[in-house]
Amino acid sequence: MPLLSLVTFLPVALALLVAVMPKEAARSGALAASLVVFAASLPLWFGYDPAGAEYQFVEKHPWIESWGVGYHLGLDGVSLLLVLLTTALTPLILLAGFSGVHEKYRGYAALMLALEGAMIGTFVSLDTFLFYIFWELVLLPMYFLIGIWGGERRIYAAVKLFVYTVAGSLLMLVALIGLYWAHYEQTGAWSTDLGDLLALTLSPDTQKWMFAFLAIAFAIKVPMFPVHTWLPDAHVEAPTGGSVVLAGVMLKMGTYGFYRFAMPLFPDAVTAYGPVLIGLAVTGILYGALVALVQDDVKKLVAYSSVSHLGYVMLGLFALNAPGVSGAIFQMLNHGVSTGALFFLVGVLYERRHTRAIADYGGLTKVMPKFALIFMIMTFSSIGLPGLNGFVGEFMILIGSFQYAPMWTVAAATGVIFGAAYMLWVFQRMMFGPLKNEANRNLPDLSARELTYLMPLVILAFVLGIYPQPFLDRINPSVERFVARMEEHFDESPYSCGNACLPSWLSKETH
Amino acid sequence: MSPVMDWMLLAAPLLLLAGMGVVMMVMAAVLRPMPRTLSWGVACGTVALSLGLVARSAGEPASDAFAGMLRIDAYGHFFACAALLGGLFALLVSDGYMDRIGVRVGEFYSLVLFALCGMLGMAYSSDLMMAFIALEVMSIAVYTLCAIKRADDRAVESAFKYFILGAFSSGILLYGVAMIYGATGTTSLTGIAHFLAAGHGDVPRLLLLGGALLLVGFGFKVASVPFHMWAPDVYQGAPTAVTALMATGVKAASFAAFGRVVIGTFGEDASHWAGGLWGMAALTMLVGNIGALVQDDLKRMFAYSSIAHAGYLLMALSSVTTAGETHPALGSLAFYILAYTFMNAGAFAVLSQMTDAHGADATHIDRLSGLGKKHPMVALGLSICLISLAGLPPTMGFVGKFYLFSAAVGAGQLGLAVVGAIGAAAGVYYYLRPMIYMYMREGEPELASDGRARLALAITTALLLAFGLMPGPVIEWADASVRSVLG
Repeated sequence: MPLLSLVTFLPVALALLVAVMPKEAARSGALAASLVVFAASLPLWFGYDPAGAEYQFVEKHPWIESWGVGYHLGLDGVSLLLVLLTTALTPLILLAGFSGVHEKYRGYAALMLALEGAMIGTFVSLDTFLFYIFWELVLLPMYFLIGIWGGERRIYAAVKLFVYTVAGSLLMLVALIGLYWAHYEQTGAWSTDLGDLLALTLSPDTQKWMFAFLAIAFAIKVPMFPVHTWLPDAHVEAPTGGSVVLAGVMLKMGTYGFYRFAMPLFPDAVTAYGPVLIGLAVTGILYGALVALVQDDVKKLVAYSSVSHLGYVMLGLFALNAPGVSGAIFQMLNHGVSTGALFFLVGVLYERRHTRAIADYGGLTKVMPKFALIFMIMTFSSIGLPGLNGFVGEFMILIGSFQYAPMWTVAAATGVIFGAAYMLWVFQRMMFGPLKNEANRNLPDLSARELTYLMPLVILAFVLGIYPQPFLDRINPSVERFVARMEEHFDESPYSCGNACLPSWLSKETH
Repeated sequence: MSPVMDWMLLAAPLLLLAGMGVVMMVMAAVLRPMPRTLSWGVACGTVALSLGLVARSAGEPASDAFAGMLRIDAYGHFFACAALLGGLFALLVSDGYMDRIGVRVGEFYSLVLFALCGMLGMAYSSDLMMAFIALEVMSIAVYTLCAIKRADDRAVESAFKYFILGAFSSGILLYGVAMIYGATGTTSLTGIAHFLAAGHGDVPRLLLLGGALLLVGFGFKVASVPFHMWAPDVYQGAPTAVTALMATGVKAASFAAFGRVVIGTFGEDASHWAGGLWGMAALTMLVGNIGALVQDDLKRMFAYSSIAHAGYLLMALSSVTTAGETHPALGSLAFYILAYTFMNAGAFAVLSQMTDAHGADATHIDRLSGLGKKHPMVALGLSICLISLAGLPPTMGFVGKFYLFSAAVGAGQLGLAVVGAIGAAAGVYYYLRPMIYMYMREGEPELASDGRARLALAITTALLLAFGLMPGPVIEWADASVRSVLG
């Protein structure tokens, strides 16, 4: 059975169904639809063999034959986890939307399901043409989700998101076409298949411009400093579910793009431009954290924390060794869980009080103890407390990046401190202290429904933190292949400064 | 059979359109008032029949007709189909629209048929004189169509502008033809190609100058920068049904003739104007896309959008000049024209329903507010057309854009492709704007309920999606058609 096609297109088909359902049945119908998709995606987890082939559940059919475009789907350990993250988050988002989305729930749920299908498509495409189509398709539902169900400045935010991403995507398209022609010139055949394109030998100069174009597209999506400015607007204006899916899954499309396409296709360009990207990643870590520190809007704070967290992911990817890259992939998952949960929590408060200003809260522990407990767990998860998921990923990334970029790693590690500062401070301001604001006195604690969509994420945060092995087992073989492919292109160190970047007293001791 | 009979058969679609145009003109004079629905039906039937005739002869080998004036080949068939489809969609919206704006004259359909006859002539002509005559047949009919609402100052102004500038550009074109004739002693495209082949890349200056003037003349017709000034006023002022015809059929026919001259005749010798074409393409993409950003009237926005798309098509022509005959992305021009015809026809089907109670166009973008709620299917259809115009998947517009960019990158025109990408990114902004109004703003949109216009919208959106997902057959057809002019 074509399982990957099923998981990709089932949500789209169900979206159409949900869109025409009677209004009264829409909520339970949409939730059921997303659970069906989740159930359909579970066999991927159990059927995936970590010791098996590089890509599994492969489907390969010709599509536009005269162009050599194929319909090629496949799953490695990394895409496996991202697909499952997507299918797991969607039911939670739809459940959360029961109270958050007052109008046009059918449209909201249908777009959310369509978005789910498109995102899964980007994670399983092994053909550049197909990948590009899914990549662009993701934007349309997100645009409407923000533009229709968003806050005050929703249209501005939606357009900004769209134009930023499309500008990058078009450059990516040009680079992919360049690659397509390079394949024709070298082999005399047309192909957009990733496997065929990986077999090409490209001159370093060609690699550089193509990598640059792809990197711009992916960096916008991640988002990396300095092209991150669409993110705070999009997050603040998006409805809760939109923010969760944006932070939880969509941002990973950028880092995934680096992992799957930009880096393996252009390894020589990676060693040339890697230091620049590492520099931008670390700048993003620190800048995101510092800006988060001064926010008075809690949603904006979480948004900027994403910029910082995704900086770690990028740093890990460009560490180009097994711990760094595995940590990066693991951190992508973590970020989906903890930031997703934080956006849910912000949404819970917003639904009750219709304000996101930190100053409007304070002392909530007294009225909402359950809420405060979950908020606390997620705060710790976000700052990387040992025993919770964030720690594992960050630790691996920093270990990995120390090998080739020690000074940058030192700088990045200070970001952990800033991260703890802004998260703990906001927690303190909102949860502890006297209950000053009268409007908060009668806030109800979490309802059973809210607990239902928050608990899976809490449990995941613990599981990923205490027993990450099953996840790492699935990530590692794929990462090892990735690292081996990159290592073919450098001897001692990928970056010209290499270990010389170490201060002299430290390098003496290591020798 | 005598050769004349053969020629007649070969050119049957043209003769049918011209003949029925004359018949309808006479009928309009005799039967007053002319039954509206009858004339609409006859016109649609005529166009459908010529489309059938073109399709029937599609499989036959290429041949000359009228002593080399016309060349009936796959290239011509492709663009003839595009023009006739554009005409058919324009006719579908025109009966209801013309009635709403209070223009009930039988001559309208006769003029549309003449215009289409001219377009077919441009698609098939293999002689510069023939191309010029066909261009004039088309243009004069369209000038008149622009002014068909005589009481409307704007329409008259638009027709007048179009006529003055069009006549001027025709003059330039004719001057170019004369120079080429002076240099080569022939106006036949094959004759010119033989002359060039014999010269082995050595091109006389007079011929170069003549060719440059041809570029200017065609540049006017396809509304490329810097010869685009007329387009916004004319698109906005002309009745929407006529604008629809201009944005589909006229564009397709002009590019057909332009392409046959550049690709088929000059081929690699066109590289003498490569700089000019490059500049025209780059400027057209930028000016069109940037100009459209600030338009609040949809018809005017679509005028700038049509300028931008002319730029994309010029990019294909420019690529062909540098890459030569073996270029595998040759079909991009033809493919994109067809996609462009569908998406514009769909969009104008919606615009034609935007009239107010007094029979005037009400195409300010505000009038779309709340359309998504009140007319969800129309809003969905327009959205698909806009997404296709923006070049986003899963539509034919995306495949077309991939094809065009592929042509440019393959020809080594990376710079042009990047300019196109920047332009297209700006394009996304203004194509999204109508969707903002339709779905994200509240309002009470008034939309005439015009079943045939909605049918046109339904057909075009279905085609855009179908060929977006399964573009294979159209790609092969487009590629084969462009190859047929290479000989």
